[in-house]
Amino acid sequence: MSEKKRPVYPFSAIVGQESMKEALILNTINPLIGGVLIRGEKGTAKSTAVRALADLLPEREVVAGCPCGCEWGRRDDFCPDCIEREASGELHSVTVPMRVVELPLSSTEDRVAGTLDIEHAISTGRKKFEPGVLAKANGNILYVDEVNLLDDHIVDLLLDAAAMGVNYIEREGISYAHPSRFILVGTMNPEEGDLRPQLLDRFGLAVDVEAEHDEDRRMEIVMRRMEFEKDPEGFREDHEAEQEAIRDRITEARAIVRDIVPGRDVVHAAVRIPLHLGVDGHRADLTLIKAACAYAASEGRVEVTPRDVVHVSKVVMPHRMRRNPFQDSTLNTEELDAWLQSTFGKD
Amino acid sequence: MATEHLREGLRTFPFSAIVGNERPKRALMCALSSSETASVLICGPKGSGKSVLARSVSRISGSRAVVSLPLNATEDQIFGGMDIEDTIREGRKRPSLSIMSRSDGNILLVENINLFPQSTVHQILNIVETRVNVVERDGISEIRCCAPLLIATMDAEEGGLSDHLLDRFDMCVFMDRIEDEAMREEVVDRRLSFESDPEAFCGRYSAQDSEVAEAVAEAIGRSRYTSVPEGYCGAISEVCSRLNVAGHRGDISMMNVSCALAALDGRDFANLDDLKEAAAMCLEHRRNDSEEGSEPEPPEPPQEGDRDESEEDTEDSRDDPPDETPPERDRTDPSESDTYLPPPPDAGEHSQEVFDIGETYRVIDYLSGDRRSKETPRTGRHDGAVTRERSGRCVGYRMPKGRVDDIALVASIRVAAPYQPMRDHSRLALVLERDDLREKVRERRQGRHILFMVDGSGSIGAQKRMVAVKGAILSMLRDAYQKRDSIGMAVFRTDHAEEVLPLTRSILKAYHVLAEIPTGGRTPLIHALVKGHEILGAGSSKESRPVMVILTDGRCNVPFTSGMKPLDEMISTARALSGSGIKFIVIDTESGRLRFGLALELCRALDGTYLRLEDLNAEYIERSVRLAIDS
Repeated sequence: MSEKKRPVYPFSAIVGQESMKEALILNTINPLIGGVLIRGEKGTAKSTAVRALADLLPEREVVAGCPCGCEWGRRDDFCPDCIEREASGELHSVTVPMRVVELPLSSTEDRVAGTLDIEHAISTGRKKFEPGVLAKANGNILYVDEVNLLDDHIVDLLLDAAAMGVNYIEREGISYAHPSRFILVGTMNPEEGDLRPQLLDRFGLAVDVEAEHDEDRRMEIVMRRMEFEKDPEGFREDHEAEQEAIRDRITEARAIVRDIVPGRDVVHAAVRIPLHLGVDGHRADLTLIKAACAYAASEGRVEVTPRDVVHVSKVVMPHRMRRNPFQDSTLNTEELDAWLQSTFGKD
Repeated sequence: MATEHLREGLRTFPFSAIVGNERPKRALMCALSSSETASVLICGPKGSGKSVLARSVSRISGSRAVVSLPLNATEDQIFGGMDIEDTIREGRKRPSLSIMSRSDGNILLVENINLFPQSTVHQILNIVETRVNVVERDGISEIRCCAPLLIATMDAEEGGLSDHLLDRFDMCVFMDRIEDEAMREEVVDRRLSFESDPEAFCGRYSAQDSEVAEAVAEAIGRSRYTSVPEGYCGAISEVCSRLNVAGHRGDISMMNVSCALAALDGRDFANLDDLKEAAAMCLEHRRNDSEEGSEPEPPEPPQEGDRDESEEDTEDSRDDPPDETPPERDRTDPSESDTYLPPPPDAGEHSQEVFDIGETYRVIDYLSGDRRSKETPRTGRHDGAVTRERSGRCVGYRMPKGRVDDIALVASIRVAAPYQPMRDHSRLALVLERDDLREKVRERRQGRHILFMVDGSGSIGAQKRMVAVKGAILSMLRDAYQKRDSIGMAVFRTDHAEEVLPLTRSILKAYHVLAEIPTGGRTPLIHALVKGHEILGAGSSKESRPVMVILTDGRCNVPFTSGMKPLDEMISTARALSGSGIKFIVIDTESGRLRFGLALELCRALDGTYLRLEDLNAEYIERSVRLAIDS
């Protein structure tokens, strides 16, 4: 609730860091992209951008009063409580904004997965499920700051839930399952250690952010920040028009992205790029297509082309490049560009 | 159960819509058909479709449900214990419905089985194999039949299962690496159309899925009567012994799987093709020959004559001399010839050399100090350290001593449950008394802090031992990566020890530093001990379980305090450090016929674990044991 009190720095006022902003927006257009991992040193607006995103998030229609935020109309994705309530005909829908749900590093297993509601057990002597962070995150953004420092046993829980979009709980006499589809957003400073390979692969996109080197722009960053701190509300009002423009763009893109059908050429490109780069598995292929469609939609197009695939490959591929722990997980962009040029032509 | 629709329902991808992966699919069909087959392990890298395949089983399993065992499961929930609700109501201890009992006669799905604690995996496999679940906890004592079909998945990148646990799986199959463009496009197309309209997509494949389900149902009936012709039985034993399969589980699984395969094809007798297929499914994870990758082929059965041909490929690989035998050729080094003295200081005092990294190999579990690598469990993580702090995974409960500040409420409720009818319930339904309270036992699955203290002196450089040393470190780094330890590195040469890599979990960084280690100069071993203690002492709490791996020949020749004899000072410093809480491992880089054994002395003084560089190679040990047995 404290996040409500403190005004959030507007997304549109963030200077530079275009690929990070784009990656975040693509995910709000199509949540199935699977989130984004933001890698970079301290003080590069990583957390600011993620928190600022909350302002731009679209609204969603959910079952009123459901702790898991079950999406209205998707009966297959209902939690057991909603199914029960539906049978007795007491289900209503409500429109709520999509949220950024934070997963603190100090979280304990039972709070993340959910567990037995002890209060209920003590006062009634009956077992009841108490939802955890993975329930709150359903349909929302799950944000982990310093994700590489997250304890292993918590990462395991994320892996499990992210795999099927369902959180199965088997704890303390409670056996329960609820939907847990979230956009996983993580930030990390690679200096402080690696991310577990399996978790790395769960992130749809990855961007590397660097501090701004241009002097003028650095000045601009500081000026804006100071202006914001002096008068947050005023600053936010000044940027409201720009914010609104981004919001409109997202809403419009979300409306058309459903209708975009990737053609043969797009699928072909999405398969060839990972093959060329020697990336195992099929996640890269699928993510390339979803991200390309979202990118096309963000530009207001209903046609997706191989060029869109090429464009998003810069954020889809980097973290998938590493095939053993001793390889750099960065993309050789020059080599890739040359290959893309020769294969898919000029753009 | 209300959650059933989430477990199955429309989110499950149709079995028949999975592209390629014929062998894993067939293995699953086979496991479903045979009542004798209890477990299948599906291995594959991330994103290869393991989960999708494993879950799609519910589409062809008929009435058998899929019961998931998630990573968050608590032990009482997995194996059984007391049911709080029933116990409170009845005032008598009532057993709970555990995952194991729910999976009886059904399918037990365990994803990422390599991420579970080893003891849990062991217990699960035990139950699956013996078909009996013995519950002894929370005052509940129960023996129950439990016969699920276990389907497990794993990605070995984060550390696989130990050979011992692997062996207990009847079958182990690997997901295809699909490299054909057209096939990959097909994978993408199907997935996208499944996501956009699951109902229509599943409808398209439902006929095919039910066909498979029917074939499986028919095979279940038939498999009871199918058999392997007697002539082939010898072939099974022969291929098992030729692939050096330890124990008899391999033979038995292969026999059962061959029968199931025949039943699936509607035959009553297994033929040679069944045997071949069964060998690939049942023996790949059990083979102990040096050559990996090639498929195990069963030999022609005796009555079909000429056996020589098929023997060739496996026979060859076994006779290969172990190519990773550590070099034994460094006898020319002058320092070794006649004096019991460290090498002269001029051995590279002015010349600095940087050596390549030698070849890598699987390392034995050197941190456990157990050198019987075959028996040593090698799961992805070191067993966690029990911690007093209030973070970490809760692994159990105990009676509190003194003040309770980390209450295990559920455990306390469990203790109090049977007494509820006797207590005063004026305000609450459940009354806890002080004696009911239990506290949590927590464990942090945190990696260790390992400092590699590398001898960069001329004696190592001159003997070209650095190549092997680097190979050893790289192998240990790989191991540390899987176990997610923090690594540091320091080099000692000329007159001081230098930290070249502060403790980090970035193995990549360690790798880059390793490549750049310079050599040359004298051996300031005492400086190394002091520096190492400083580094590990600074960044460590008790929980980090600091380990110092010293790679040296022990030929200390620089005094820390001027006027002292270097060797004597080394031993006394080492003795002083032996109680410091750091675990020491000394890896002796000395080789050749003439050895001084100084590293061993150092190790004794440190009260550490002594290993010779060549012993680190796990495969080498296995081979030498085998050679010893064979000869």
